[in-house]
Parts: sequence; C-alpha cells; structure tokens
Amino acid sequence: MEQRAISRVSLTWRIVVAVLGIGLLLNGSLRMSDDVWPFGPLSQYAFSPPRDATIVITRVEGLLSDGRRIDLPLRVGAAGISRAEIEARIPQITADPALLRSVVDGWTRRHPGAPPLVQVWLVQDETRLVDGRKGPTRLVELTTWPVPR
Amino acid sequence: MKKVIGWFAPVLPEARVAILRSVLYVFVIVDIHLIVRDPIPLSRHPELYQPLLLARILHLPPPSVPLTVTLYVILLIGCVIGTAGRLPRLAGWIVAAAFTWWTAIGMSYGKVDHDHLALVVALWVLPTVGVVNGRWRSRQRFTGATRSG
Repeated sequence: MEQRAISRVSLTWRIVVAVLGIGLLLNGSLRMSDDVWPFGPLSQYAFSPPRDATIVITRVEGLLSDGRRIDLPLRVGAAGISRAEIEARIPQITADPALLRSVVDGWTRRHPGAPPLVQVWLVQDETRLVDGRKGPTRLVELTTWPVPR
Repeated sequence: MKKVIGWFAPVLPEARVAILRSVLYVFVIVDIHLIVRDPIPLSRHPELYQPLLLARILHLPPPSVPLTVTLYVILLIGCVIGTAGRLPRLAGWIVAAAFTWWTAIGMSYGKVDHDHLALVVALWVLPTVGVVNGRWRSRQRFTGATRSG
C-alpha cells in the first residue's frame, strides 16, 4: 500500500492548532462559562438532581377569546421558541411581560384557525422529589400579560 | 518527540476521510432539521438575542430571517456537494463556517448546549484534507488524516 508524504510545515501547523484547541477546551471547562461556546464547560452533562430536589417546569398558559385556558406548548414546532429559551429569560420576562409576545406570535402564526389569545401567563410546575420519587406538585404564577388587540 | 508526533498524526487509510466526509455532511443535513432546527424561528425574536463571545469577537451581525434562511440554503447545497466528494476544500470550509454560525445562532437565545463540539471540530478538520483519490475505495495511506501542500 502506498503512503503519501506530509511536509514538515503541514504537520507543524496541524499539531499547533490541535494543541490550541485542547487548550481552549481545558480553559473553557475549568474557568469559563457557556459564553465561550463551542469550547464551553461540558459539565452540563455531569450531574443528576439530589433525591430531595425540586423539579421546576416552566410553561406558558393562554386564555383564548372563547374562554378556554390552554397550555401553549413551548416547542419550536408549536410556538416558534423552546422551553429552554424561555427559562433562560425568566427575569427579563417578569420585568417586562410583553416579551411573552414571542410565544403569542409564534403560536398564533402556527394556529391560524384558532380563536385569538386574550391573555397569557408564565407559570411553573414545582414538583418536590421525596426520596428520589415524585412528590406533590405546586403551580406558581410568575407573571401575566394581557395581549393587546 | 517522534512518539508525540506519531500520537497527533498517526498513519491511517485515506478512505476513512472519504467515508467520514460523506457521513458527516449527511448528518449535518439531518442535524439542521432535527437537532439545531430553531435558528430560523429564533431569528424572528431579536429582543431575545444574546450573542455568544464568538459572535461578539467576530462582530457577526444579529440574526435575521434572511440571514438564517441564507445559511440554511448554503448548508444544504454545501452538504450535497460535500457528500458527493466534490470540491472537498471549498465545500468543506463553507460548510464548516456556515454550520458553526448556524449552531452559534441556535445557542444565542439563552440556552447553550455543548453537544456539538466534536461535530464542529470535525467539520473544520475535513477540508484540511484535499481530494481523496478513489474516495471510499482509496487504497492509499497517509499521515494523520492530512495531506502535504
């Protein structure tokens, strides 16, 4: 089998780039935050919740003009934005509930035949774990926004 | 020293690069539809945009729908060309840059995932290997998945 040669320069820059990449990854893992993506800390995959943790699920509920109160699924396919993005913005949304417009707009665009939304709520289901198993669940209302007509 | 260089650049069959190329460019097409599929809907919400360090260093413009749709089209075309093994360097650099930008946009709305590190690195490495003669059936061996000059 034939073997192709590689020049010293080609070999050198490739090894230098590889070492730099390993350095960036170590730096990201040990010192930095998610901000340095793609070389951020991989520790987000390294933990499990303690046996007495409280599991919080953030949801958006909406009141339709026909009186039904429904869950607006926070998925890209259903609301144009995912739950993780909303969770990351809870402080901004409680300070300015009009940011919930992104969910309202995304849901309305995907449900053109549905009655219009008149009000939305940002809520959380807080489920307590008892010895690692599902315990009682409590509904907490974080903020609400009347949808302007 | 020889041992260290040998660890960074082992002698490997060239066909592996051709196979990895086909697999990864197909996977990128799957990825932008199933995994990081939210950049286009997210780009409708400039009020939620929170650029990563990478975007700030490179002064990347804030995402807009025309921008994300363009990236999507570039990725589709680039991946089809790359999968076919044509223009490995040109298509490879373009897909690497476009996919890095696409994924960075997906991580710029509050929730950052670090599961794409290996894929992003692999996409940047692939174009450093030029044409693989004989593609999947190549009988040639060469140093460290690289090719001289």
